[in-house]
Amino acid sequence: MNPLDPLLTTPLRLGAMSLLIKLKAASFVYLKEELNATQGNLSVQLYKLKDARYINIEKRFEGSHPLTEIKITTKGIRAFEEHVKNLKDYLHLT
Amino acid sequence: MKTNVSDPQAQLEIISQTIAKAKENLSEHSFAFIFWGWLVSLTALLTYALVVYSSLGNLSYLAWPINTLMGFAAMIIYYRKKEKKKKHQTHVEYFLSKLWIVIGCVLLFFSLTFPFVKFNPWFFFPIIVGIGTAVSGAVLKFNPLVLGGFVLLSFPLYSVLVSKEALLVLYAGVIIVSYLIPGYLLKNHQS
Repeated sequence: MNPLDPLLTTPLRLGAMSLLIKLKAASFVYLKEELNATQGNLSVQLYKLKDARYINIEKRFEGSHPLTEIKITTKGIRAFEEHVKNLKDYLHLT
Repeated sequence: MKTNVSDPQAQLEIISQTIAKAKENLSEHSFAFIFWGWLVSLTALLTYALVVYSSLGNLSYLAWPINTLMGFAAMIIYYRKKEKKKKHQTHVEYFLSKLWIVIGCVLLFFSLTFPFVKFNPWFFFPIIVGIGTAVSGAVLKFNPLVLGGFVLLSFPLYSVLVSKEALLVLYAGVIIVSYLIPGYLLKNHQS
């Protein structure tokens, strides 16, 4: 049995990855609202995922408003799928 | 929120609960079908009234490029406003937006060149729009739209049974079946 990815065992990071896997892109505000997280905590957790190259974070201006857009990467998709597979293995669901 | 969850069952629950939040909202896709359903069916009936009851002759058909241009302008304004408010985009939304941009460009090009280039619009337009509608229905897993797409795709087959003027009334009816009814069903769909 493969060990679980420690980056994905934190609820907030796991939640963020679960949302991003279903989306083409999400704003920071959307993730914050859906995950019921504080700005500071979410920011820290997202940058850990970014450092692991699981997600891309892009900052830009939409008109006069700043927008932080987050997308899952191919590496992130693979890591998430592997994590789900490992979880199912632990529970003997596969 | 706990900092770490070692229980695989709890992790799978987090995943399934969170993924459910990002579920596709089908009713958000209804606007375009309702908008174009009304616009195209009313344009077809208007053209019919002009052809039959006015002395404009072939000029009556100019209602198509004029209304199509106004429709495209309205759609661009609507989706630009919506885009500004939107906080996320699903893969389905991304795919459908690209699909309809390409179809829209093809339709706009042929709507504008229609008065100058010889081609059968009753063959070309329903097939192009029908492909887009059937694919949209398949991607959204919404059968009334798939059915509507096939009603449009087969229009060139059954349209040979009616006269040139009656084609306009028939097309209005087909658009009601393939756009308006699925559009309203989509709007009221509970995800």
